[in-house]
Amino acid sequence: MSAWGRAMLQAARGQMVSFARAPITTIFALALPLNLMLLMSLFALTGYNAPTGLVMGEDTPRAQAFVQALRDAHNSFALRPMDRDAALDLVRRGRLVAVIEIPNGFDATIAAGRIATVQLTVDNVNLDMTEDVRRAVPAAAAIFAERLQLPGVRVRPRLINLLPKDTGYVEYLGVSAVALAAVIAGGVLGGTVVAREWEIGAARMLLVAPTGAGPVLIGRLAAAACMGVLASAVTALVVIFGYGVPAAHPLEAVAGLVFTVIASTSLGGLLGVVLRRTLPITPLVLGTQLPFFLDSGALEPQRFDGEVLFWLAHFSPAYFGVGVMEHAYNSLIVTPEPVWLLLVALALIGIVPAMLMGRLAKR
Amino acid sequence: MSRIVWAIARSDITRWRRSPALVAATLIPAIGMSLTVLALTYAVGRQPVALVRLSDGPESDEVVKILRESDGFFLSERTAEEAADDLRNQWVCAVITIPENFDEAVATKSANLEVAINNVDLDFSDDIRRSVSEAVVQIDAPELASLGEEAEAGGEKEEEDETADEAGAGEMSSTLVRRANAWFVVPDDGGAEFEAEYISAGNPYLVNVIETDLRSPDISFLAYQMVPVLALLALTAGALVTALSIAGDRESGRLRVIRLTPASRLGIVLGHLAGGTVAATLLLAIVVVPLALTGVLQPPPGRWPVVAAILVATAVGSTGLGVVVGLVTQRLTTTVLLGVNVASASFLLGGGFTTIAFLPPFIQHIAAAVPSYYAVEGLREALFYADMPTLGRNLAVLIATGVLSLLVGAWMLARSRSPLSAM
Repeated sequence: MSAWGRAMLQAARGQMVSFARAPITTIFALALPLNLMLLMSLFALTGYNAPTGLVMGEDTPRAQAFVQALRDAHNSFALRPMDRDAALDLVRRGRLVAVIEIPNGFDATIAAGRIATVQLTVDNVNLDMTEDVRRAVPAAAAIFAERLQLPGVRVRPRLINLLPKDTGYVEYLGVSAVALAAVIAGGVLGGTVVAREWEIGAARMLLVAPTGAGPVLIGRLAAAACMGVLASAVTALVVIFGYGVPAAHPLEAVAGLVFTVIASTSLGGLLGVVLRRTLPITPLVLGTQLPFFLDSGALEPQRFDGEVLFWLAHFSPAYFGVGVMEHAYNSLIVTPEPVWLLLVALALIGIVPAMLMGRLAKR
Repeated sequence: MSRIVWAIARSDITRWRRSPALVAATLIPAIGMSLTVLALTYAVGRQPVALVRLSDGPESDEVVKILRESDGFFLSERTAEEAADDLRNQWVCAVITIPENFDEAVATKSANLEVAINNVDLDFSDDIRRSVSEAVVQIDAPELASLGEEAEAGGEKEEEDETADEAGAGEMSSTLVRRANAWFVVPDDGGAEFEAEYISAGNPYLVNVIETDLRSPDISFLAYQMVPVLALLALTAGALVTALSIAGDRESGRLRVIRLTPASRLGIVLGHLAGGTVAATLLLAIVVVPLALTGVLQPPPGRWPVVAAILVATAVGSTGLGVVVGLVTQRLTTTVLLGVNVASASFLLGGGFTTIAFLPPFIQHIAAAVPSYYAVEGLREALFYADMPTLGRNLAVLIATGVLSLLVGAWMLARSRSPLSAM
């Protein structure tokens, strides 16, 4: 084996020993991606089915039909039957998004061909949920009219889904968060192990070594990437067994995870060489990658949010990672680029910063 | 003791001010999150949709007008082939097609608006479905599809409703009966039946909705989401900086020297708590003042003192967390990792991207153990709600976190090693 290869292997081994000697630090580093993945999933839990108080003025067939229409109005309401005072109190305290009151006489009014008036009280504090509720009520009315075959409706929507089944938001976001875990784990560990070489003064000695700093830094990054893969694998397994989302293409999932970690570790290493201090690495990686994660197709295909955000997303490995993972788990295509191209991009992101690192280390 | 407290506080602030790395660590997460919120503000609830128009006529024109005015879409008119390409390449997430002979079908009440959706995930697919339904309902019942619009429209709507109710009030009870393709109202007293369309003209859905909003106008998405960003800023400035400052002292040996001085342990911890609180409060003020001046944050009249109190209490609580994190760890790297884990968990469990009250009960119980939950709830209540029933509790929890951290910190300082030392 060449001196270059030996130095790299020694550096990697030394870094693994260092991880083992600081178990608490290592555990926190491993916990961070899992922590973020679990917490990001909270966002998905309130993405739909707005908690809504349901006040029934009567329990009649048509009133029940309207309630069923509300329930079937595109996952808009989590209806909670309750009395009027309790419902209004809860909505005023921000515990419900809305209150829907079906009046006494609803059934008879509809039966007579007249218009029944439903009261809707909305806590219009969160515009996203408020608009969902406002749009869902007409949608429910349309479903109601369709089921009762009411006359006079001239136009109906005919919805055609391109995919055979909808993917739930938790399943979608949970899988995206595996890519986030890989990006954070790789970035934090890669940046920290490289920056530490400067902090402890080892970098100066490495620069005068016959092989230069390159093999040692790459060896350190390789060890960091191994830990990153381990941390990300834990989150991937939580998604499979905890969230019940099996990987449709397991090999692709493994490749996506490994390539995303390698790309992020390499970028983290580059950051470490530039900053040469461990302290800002984690906040910087987290502070930049969390927003990039939201701008990576993690919530929906990124191009839907406009061209500027779409192209901006390409500056982070999260975009490519999310694209691969969504296909690997859910068989979804969320990027215009094919999966092989996403993997190639991740590989390039892994290689280029690692090559630049050696040059920058000499400065 | 106050001299010692202020000396340590000043030292922490000065060190933070002079260290670009610390400044970056404090500001970058909050700036990043603010930019994200800003980006989401423009994207939320509105999706790019292609419109394919295969029919000309007044009804088609009306539908196109409604779709163009809908706040659920960014609409672009395309040919069928272009729209198919756009859908495949993800330029649009749905294609709405007005089919041939649409106007004729409208006349016979059998028209369909075809909507092909790229139903990749449920959240935005349902947004499209709701928006399309709303637009379709607007064709026959504009008043039903105008929920949330300006008060003037609401006023007219109520007037119409009253008229309808009055019209109905004088009538005898009756039954709706379907015969072939038409519906008829059959009065229960045996009177002459008549076609149902006559009565329900203008709203064939037979349901109207009167909307009451808790406030007017709606709170902007930006203002709503800025609240957790403020909590994040307090967490990074208060918790992270204080934790790093204490860990830095420990790693450099300064903490050992300070402990040899006559300064009381409580005074030392109080100094760090004061320093972090002042830094976090100043940063919050730097962010909040422009937001207030530009009208992004507009609490109800007389609420600014309450908002300020909650912000200061948030800074105290966050810094308290930082004191504990700083004292519990030995190495700076461990401090950073634990600090970031705590800050991100606090941010997200505090209601960073969501409303905790809408989550399953077990998550609500976990969130109740996180001080930032009380900060976000307190700020949202003070800024957006008429009543503040949990104000006292929120302030008490935040201040208590700071006080508890003082006691725990003083106890930890008395120990020769940190609980996580040598690891």
